[in-house]
Amino acid sequence: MNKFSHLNKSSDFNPFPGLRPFGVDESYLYFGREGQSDEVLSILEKNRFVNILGSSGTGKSSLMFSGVIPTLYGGFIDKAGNNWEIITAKPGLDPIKNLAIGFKNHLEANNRERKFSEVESLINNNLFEAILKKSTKGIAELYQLNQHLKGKNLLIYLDQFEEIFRFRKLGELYHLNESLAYINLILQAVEQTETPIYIALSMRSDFLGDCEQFPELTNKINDSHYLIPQMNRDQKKLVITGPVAVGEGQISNRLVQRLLNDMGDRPDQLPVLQHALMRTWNYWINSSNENTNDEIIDFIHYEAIGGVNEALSRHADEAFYELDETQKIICEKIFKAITEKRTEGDGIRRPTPLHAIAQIVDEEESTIIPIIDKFRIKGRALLTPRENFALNSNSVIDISHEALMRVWYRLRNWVQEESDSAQTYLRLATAAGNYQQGNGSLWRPPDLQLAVEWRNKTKPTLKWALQYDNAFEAVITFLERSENAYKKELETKELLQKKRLRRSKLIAYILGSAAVLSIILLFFAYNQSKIAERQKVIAEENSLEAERSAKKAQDNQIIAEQQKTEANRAARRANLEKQNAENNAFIAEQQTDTAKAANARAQQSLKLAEAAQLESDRLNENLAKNNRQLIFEQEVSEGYRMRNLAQKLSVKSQQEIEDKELKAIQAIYGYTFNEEYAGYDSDNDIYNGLFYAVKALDPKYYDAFRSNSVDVRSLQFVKNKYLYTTGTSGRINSWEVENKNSTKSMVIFDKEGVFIKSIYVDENNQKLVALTDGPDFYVINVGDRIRTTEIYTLPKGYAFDVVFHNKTDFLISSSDSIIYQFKDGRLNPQLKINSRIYDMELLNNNQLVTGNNRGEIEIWNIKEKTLHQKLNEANNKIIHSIAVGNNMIATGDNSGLVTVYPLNKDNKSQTTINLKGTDGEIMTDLTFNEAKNQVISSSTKGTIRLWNLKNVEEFPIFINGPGSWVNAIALLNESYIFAGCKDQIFRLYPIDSEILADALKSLMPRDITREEWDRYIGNDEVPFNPIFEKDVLVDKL
Amino acid sequence: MNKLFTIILLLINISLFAQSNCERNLQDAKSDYNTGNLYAIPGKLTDCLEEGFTKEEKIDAYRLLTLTYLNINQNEKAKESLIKLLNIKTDYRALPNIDPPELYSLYRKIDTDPKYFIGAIVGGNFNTIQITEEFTNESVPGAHDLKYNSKISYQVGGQFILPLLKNFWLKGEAIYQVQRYGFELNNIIAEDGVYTNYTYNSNNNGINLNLSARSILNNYYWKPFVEYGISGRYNINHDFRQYKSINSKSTDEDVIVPDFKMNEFRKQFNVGIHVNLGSMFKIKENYGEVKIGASKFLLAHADYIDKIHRQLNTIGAQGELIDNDYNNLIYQVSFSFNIPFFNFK
Repeated sequence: MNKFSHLNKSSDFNPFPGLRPFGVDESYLYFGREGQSDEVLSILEKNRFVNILGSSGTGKSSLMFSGVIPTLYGGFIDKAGNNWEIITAKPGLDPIKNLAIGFKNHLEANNRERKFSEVESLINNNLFEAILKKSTKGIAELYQLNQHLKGKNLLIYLDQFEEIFRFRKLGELYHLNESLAYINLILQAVEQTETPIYIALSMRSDFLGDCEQFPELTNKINDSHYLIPQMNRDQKKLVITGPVAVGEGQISNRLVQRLLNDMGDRPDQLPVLQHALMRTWNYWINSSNENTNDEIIDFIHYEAIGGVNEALSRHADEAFYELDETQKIICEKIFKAITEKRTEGDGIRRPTPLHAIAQIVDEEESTIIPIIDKFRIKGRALLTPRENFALNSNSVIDISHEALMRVWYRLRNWVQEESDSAQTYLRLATAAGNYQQGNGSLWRPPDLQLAVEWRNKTKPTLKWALQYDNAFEAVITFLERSENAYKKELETKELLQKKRLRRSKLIAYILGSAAVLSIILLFFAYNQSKIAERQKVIAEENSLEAERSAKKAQDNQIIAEQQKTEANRAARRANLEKQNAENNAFIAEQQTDTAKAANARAQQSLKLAEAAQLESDRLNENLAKNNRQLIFEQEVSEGYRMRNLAQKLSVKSQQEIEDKELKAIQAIYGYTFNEEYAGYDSDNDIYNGLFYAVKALDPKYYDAFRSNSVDVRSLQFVKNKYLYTTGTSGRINSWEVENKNSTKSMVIFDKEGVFIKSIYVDENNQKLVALTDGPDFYVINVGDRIRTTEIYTLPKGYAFDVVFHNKTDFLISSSDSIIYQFKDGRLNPQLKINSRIYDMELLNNNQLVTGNNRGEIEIWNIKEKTLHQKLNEANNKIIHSIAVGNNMIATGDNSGLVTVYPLNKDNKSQTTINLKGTDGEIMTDLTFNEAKNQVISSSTKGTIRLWNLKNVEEFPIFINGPGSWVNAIALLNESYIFAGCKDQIFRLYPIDSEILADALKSLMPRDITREEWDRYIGNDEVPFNPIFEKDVLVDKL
Repeated sequence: MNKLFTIILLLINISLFAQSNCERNLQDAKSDYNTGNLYAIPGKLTDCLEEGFTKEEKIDAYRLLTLTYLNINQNEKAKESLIKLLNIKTDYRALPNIDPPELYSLYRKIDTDPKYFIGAIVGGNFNTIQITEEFTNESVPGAHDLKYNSKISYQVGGQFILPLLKNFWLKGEAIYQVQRYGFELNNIIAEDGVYTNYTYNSNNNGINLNLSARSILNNYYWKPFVEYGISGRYNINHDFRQYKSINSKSTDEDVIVPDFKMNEFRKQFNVGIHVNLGSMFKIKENYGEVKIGASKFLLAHADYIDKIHRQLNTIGAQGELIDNDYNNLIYQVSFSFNIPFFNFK
């Protein structure tokens, strides 16, 4: 109770300093390095000089401020007494000036009653600096000049001494001389004996090698160094529990162990631990005050702030997210300006004055100050100076601790980007130098492409460039020349290519036209020859008829001549003329008949001509049909080509690593073409193109609820709302899920030492069964208002699987090869099976499908306790998972094979379909997505596979995202699936390319450019046609 | 000779080949575990577990095998593998939050407590004398200035520890212990300027049989305890060595007289109680132990038929020593090395 009265009074109090070192007045909170101060002081007493060495984050400054200095005040150095004055300074860019400022600040702090004017302050500063620069005895002279130091011992503590080596590396003569003079000042102050001056340095041990530049300093360090030992586990424990006890709080032992484990053995994790503890304490105080509830600091508080691994990153992100979009970009530049990468994987600070930062980032100081302030407000202190110092042009901006560079992922990336950027610049500078000397040539792709991208992306300023090399002008000119030369080369190439293309097109057109004309002429000629042949036949027939008519006419002429002769004769025979006339009339009638016959033949010729016309029409129709077929085939061919292009784009997208925007563009166009040209909707390449593009733009997109991670071995989702998970800690968590987000979560089971390997919930969310690795299992009444938990024990063996039967009764398969029925709190043997059943499912109220360790799939009648059908014979496989749906049974085994058994109306199966795409791993879980006719599996190889049952011959979609074993899967709805993974994260994956495409569109910052279109799609074949509406992207910009 | 040399070289090569082959198998098996290819693991490890693995590799392999069996529903084989691991490395521990929970859960189910310890002891003691009845009187010259001096000596032996309950153990200890003390008289004969000083050093060799109960905090690395019980002692031998010093202004003379046995004047058996404070601490798979404590022997050591007339014939038969009745309190510090024995099941 005392705790809360105390906390309510001083909720500002926090016994953990976070990233900053412990202060002189915080020694009562400083634990874990007891006795080490004495060792440091022994060295200091003996040599009047000590160099405290240690890697980043080992607590050098804290040891000094909260260990050594308070002990010093206590009079530990016998011969010196307890009358001490302490001056602290950091070398920075201008070490001697900074030391002078240290003296000046000390003078002003010791004369508080006297108000120093700005002019006086400036005079003091310049005077002290002049004295220090005048001779190597400058420090002793300053001691004597400062009256308030008389008779007292002076300890000068130089923090972050390694800065002196860093600035030396800049190579300017001024810095070289300054560093040497600074070190001589220190050495001289230690050597002299007239004044009681003691010097203490703290320096990162990885800079020890740099000391060899100064032989005398090296000798001094050899005599008087103190290497901070790494803390053992007990000392680290004290670091946690000591301040908690001082703050009158209590911390659970398991959290202490977790903190120690999370922290690991790296010595540089101490500031990260301190920061996590500071945040945990604050969270605990706030939650305790809210609840007015007596509780100790435990997992709930620790996990809420993200743990050791996440806390610092989140804290920094909080500040970052408070900035608007423009400020975020400037913020990135600021952090890049104040950090640098020394060697592989090792970032160091680069404290920089505000005015210099303004020049580097090319912004006004008034724009930068509010951004920096966000990172140094009370309780944050991620940047220095602290919040109580107002910033001005000369304020040196620095990060509180190197650990921030290691832990804040955003800064880590920035540091890496800055390093890459500097490398690119330096390479360019070298190339530009070589080019100027005639030793090198202009750059071409890919180097040129990278360099241009670097320039466009980073927009380097002169001030920025001067940090690394002074050849900025030369670099920019070199780059422009390279770019222009390459552009010209490209243009020439393009011109030539266009010419070639035009020529090819012309030839193609001519040849094409000639071919078409030839076909038409051929057809016309063929038609004409047919008509001609027919006309020839008719003409021949007519000719024959005419010959016949001529013959007949000749005959008639002969007859007429005969008749004439006869008439002549008749003249003489008058009585015969009438008969001759009658004969002539008869012949005339015959000639009329002949004319009629000729007319009929003419009619017949007309009919033949009509038939020829019909034949011609038919041939025309065939030609049109052939044309349509040709167009169709062209369309099919176009479809194949575009689908092929779609797949190529998706594969390229998956291979693209560096340019996330390009990756996204390739994926979305792959998807779009596949959709437009009716590609396979479950295409693995298309899906994975989208999948990885989304992941690249939003790495946490697939982490369920975008919340802190939880451990998952088994999960169940029921009633479209309740998600239950269990994992490595043995706890069972319940989540209420709405619209893909968890609105509420709680721990419903947590027993120490109980390992829950799997959980099962009935469809009405009334009972949850939790199986352990022993004979015990727990039944939790999750549907009751007051939740109760019952424990039951199997008579022999341990359980593998549970299936609910008749609402809340269930069947449970046991390692003793018996399936028990659990009803009304009692276990009864239901089926005796001579094998172990690892998975089973109900087909209906009376039929149960089982898969066993001999590879057999069997359907049992539960009531009759008889075998209904054995679907396959025993083999050397082991069935690990079974699912029922879409009138099918699907099974997954230890060889990675998924087999589907379609059922008839009697629930019998005659056929077996082995699905493609297996790879020898264990199929841990299976489920049907009935709405989309899919079967989905998870495996120990870390994959999820989705087969489209409409086309069982096709390969499945592979989701390789999880990376580690996927222990369980559960459908959220027809479009999303939960995956519980061995790496302790449960994820939510869309199982529909369309959803991924929509998500990707919402994340994409830009559309395809014309140049990218030409390069990856080809303007000659597909005209430039970006898919986004302009206003979609305008919002993003 | 050359043939023999060739054969030896061949055998060494084969052995090295088998070893590197097994090392590769172990790496393959670990890789299989990470990629979920669990059923391939037992086949890769079985032969090498019989021959080919070093001890460290065997530990790794059995751990991997245990995890594999646990994840393919074969808990019985998993337990068998873990017990084999424990037999190779008896102090192996699965730790919560570090080892996989299924391994930790199985480990908790196995009885990993030592069944008994057998250990060797070495140590030193500081023997103090308490007079229970004084027989020295004024007839003995210098009786007013006699004193008993405590002396340091040593003990060695063995012990058997039986952990009866988690925090309550029983212990039996047999040690050979030498107990020493000094007896000194001054100014026995004081002529003009001459002082004579008699010193006797007592050596008592015997065997102690200690039975103790031990209340112990059963931590893994440190096991602090309080031990209390009864002691029986069998005295093997008891002798005296005597010195005579004559000091005067002109002379300074030491005389050493041969040892003489006191067995006939000492009890052969004695009983006592003891209490110790100490801690066991882990040394690799075994436990060291350090303790300090005290034993109090209750019976008087002197044993005379005629209790009154106990003046001894000593230097010059001058009767300078009268043996008082006394018992003793011994302060001891002991170090021991204990080997634990298990029955993992």
